[in-house]
Amino acid sequence: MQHVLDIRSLHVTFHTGGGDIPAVRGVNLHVAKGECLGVVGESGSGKSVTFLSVLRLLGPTGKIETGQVDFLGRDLTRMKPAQLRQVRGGRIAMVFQDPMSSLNPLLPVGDQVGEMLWAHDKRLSKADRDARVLELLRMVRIPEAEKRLRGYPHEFSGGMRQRVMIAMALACKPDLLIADEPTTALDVSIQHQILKLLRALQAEMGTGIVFITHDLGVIAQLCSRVIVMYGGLVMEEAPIAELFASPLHPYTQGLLASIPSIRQDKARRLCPIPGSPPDMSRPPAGCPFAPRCPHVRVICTERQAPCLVFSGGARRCACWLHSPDAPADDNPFYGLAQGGERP
Amino acid sequence: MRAYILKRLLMMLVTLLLVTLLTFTLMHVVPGGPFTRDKQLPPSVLEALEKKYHLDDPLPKQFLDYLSGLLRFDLGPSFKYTGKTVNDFIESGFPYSGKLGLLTLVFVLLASIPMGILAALKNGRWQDMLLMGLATLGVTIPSFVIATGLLYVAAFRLGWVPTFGVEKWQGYILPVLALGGYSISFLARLMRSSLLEVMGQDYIRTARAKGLTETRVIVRHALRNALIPVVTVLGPTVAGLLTGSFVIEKIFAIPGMGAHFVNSVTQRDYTTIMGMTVFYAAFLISMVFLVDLFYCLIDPRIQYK
Repeated sequence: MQHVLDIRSLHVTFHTGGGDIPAVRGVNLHVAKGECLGVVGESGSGKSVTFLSVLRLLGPTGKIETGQVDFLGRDLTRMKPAQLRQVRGGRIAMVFQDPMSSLNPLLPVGDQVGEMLWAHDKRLSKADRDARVLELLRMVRIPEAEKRLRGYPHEFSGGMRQRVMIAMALACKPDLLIADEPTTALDVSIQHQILKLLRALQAEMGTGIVFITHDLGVIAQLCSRVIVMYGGLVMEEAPIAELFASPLHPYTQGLLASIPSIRQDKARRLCPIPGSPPDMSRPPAGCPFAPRCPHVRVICTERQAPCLVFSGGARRCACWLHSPDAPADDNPFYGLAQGGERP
Repeated sequence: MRAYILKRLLMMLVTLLLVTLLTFTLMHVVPGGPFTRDKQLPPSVLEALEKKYHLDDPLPKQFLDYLSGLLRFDLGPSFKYTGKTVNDFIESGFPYSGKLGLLTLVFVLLASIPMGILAALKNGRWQDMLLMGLATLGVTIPSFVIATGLLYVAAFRLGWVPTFGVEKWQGYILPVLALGGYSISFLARLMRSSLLEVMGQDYIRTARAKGLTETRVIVRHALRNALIPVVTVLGPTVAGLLTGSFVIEKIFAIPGMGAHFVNSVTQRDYTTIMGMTVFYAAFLISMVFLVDLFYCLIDPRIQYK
């Protein structure tokens, strides 16, 4: 299948006053045409940064150090600003986490959606544009769209604002929609409606979707393939069913164990992953998950495991547990040993 | 909206009444009076003077009398300049102060907002450093120092502009620069920090993600949002500029209101103190009110009920 997006060994660093923070440290991934890819990880795992750098929206401190972002064969990291502007919104659109702060508070929502059309087709007449905006707002199921056209963002509820954002993102029928935690700021019931809407629109328009979230449950409802990120690296990639059935990476296993279930036995307690994510201003030499990993070995703290491919290329995982190159004499209970001495 | 305006107008009257009462009280607390001299006046003369100006009435009666005069826009006679009323001072002084203030205001707006925008867009680079360095000087150096410096260089050394008086239009140049120095610096800094904050907002990222040019992102999405804090401080700034500055008017020999304001206090010229304060207060309150109304136009989130 053809790839819409191909990210190759992407490194992104934030140069801040307090030192450099390598937020993305060599990410490889692709998005196939029309598919829905889920990207999951904790805050600070580099998932948002990876996809913000696709459209080069990192802000003044973030810099793409090395790597390629190929969009239909063209490298976005080297594209001239004028060409990049045509891709932004026109071919690749984004929906952000907080729909309140992501809409301009001083402009009517209709104008903000219309501006997306204007930016990519200057020949469109004002009347045609207005008609299309109305059509888009109806498409995202905003009730009484013709009345709400002239409303301001503060007059909309959170869910309705996110619908406006989606209408705006889909206005130019992009090849790819990057949704960066679009449901995180919403109530659970509204979350469900937005997911349903995205699923319906994807089926209708065939747009590829990258769905970034920290919620595996949301991914299960929408995506066919999942990328798990941690510490600025891809830890695991798998088709959705296989990921839930047989997670390979200890981090993925930990994530799955920490999802509460409604059918869960009351006696069984939720298993959160102990510890906290690594401080990315001082990235660890080995696997970033090593300090929290129940299966940690000496090699894990020294070197990052290579990313191995399984199931004929459908899966990959970066963990020494699955690597034939891992030293055999390594103590698997290193993390539990009090002294931590190497045998 | 109409109800809101009526409510605000009523509140303005209450505020004005309180300002009047407070000034009146403070003024009478201060020892000495308009007829206190180095050489003591004979008691009979003093008594006659006090009787003439009703200063022998009990204070509450004096206050009520003053208020009733105020209702008829009669600010009373000056105690110091016989034959002159406080209304005369305002009528003769305000046109000068107002004209100087208005010119300064236009200049301040035209200079400070573009300065702030440029500094924000060139954040951290030499243009920013230069402008903010100048702005820091402008905020910290007192206006009389700026005024004397300007006078020395532009008027005395180079002879480009007259040293005093506003008979010719060139006479306004230096007073406008000296009077506006502080406001320009202050507003430029405010504009810069406000725009920088807005540029970091999520909706600016959204605008960029739409594929808009940077110019359009700034003009359409950033500027209007960034202007809101600037508009807030504009009300007091306008009132301050238009009612005159004692120092600047003194240095450039402009016959505005500022001199009366200061002299009246040192001379205990009761009616002039009251008149000037009430006039300034009324002006300030009106400007703040206008700014609040102007808010509606730029920010749809603000609705008055």
